[in-house]
Amino acid sequence: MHFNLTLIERMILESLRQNHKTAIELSVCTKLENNIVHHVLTSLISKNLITLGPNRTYGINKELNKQIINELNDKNNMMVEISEIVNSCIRSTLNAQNKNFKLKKVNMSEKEEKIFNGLLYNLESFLNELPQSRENKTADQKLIFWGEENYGKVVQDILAY
Amino acid sequence: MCLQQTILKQYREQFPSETLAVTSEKTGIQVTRIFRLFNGSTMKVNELEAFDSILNQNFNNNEFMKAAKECLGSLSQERLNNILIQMNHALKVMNFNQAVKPFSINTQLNALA
Repeated sequence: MHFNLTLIERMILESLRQNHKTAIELSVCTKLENNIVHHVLTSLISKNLITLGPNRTYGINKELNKQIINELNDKNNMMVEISEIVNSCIRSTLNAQNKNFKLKKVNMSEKEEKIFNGLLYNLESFLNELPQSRENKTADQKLIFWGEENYGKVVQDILAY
Repeated sequence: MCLQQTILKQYREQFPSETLAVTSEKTGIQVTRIFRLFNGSTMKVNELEAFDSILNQNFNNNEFMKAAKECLGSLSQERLNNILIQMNHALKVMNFNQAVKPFSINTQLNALA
């Protein structure tokens, strides 16, 4: 069964995976307005993805844990979610002149490409060594994206899609 | 944000400098009523339909439907699936945004039972 989960629902589920929370705690943790949190919770409860426990706290339905993870990692759903993240950063960059998204088209010599790969390796090592979980609010986490591809290959891929 | 607020917001975004008189002419709603609607009076269904109809015309529904039909006939299943998920996500997010704060979750749970 596909739940067609959006980024907003993912955020709520990720927050509940840390520990059980009340609606207000979720609102604080995700920085989403109360009414949006309530609406999302209703949607998730109706799909049996979360349960309401004692003291009005919500938690992930442990019986569906694997199914939820599979759904969140579904290739098609992830493509759309990642596009939404990138589109959001692009909109922010174009509208508000922020520097949230940068894209460069470059020519690199073999030597320059080796330097670039070295820098990329350092970046990935740094990010991989960051602790998986911290006491931070879910909303305060940073979304970092990087990657590179040959210009011609991208165009060919679009043609073949 | 409720449906009325959403529609009025979209209308203002599409026609930012339009006077109330012109809006009145286009929608067929009295100008004093237009003023009250933009200042919080509850919209009637026929008034909502009038605004909605103008917004749909402006967007060019026909072009959208034509493109959708062509996509159905031409694009790969994978690409169509991707577009469908995007549309469903957009609808979901809009619904979350339109949520009016309730009655408590318990009432909603009882309604579901």
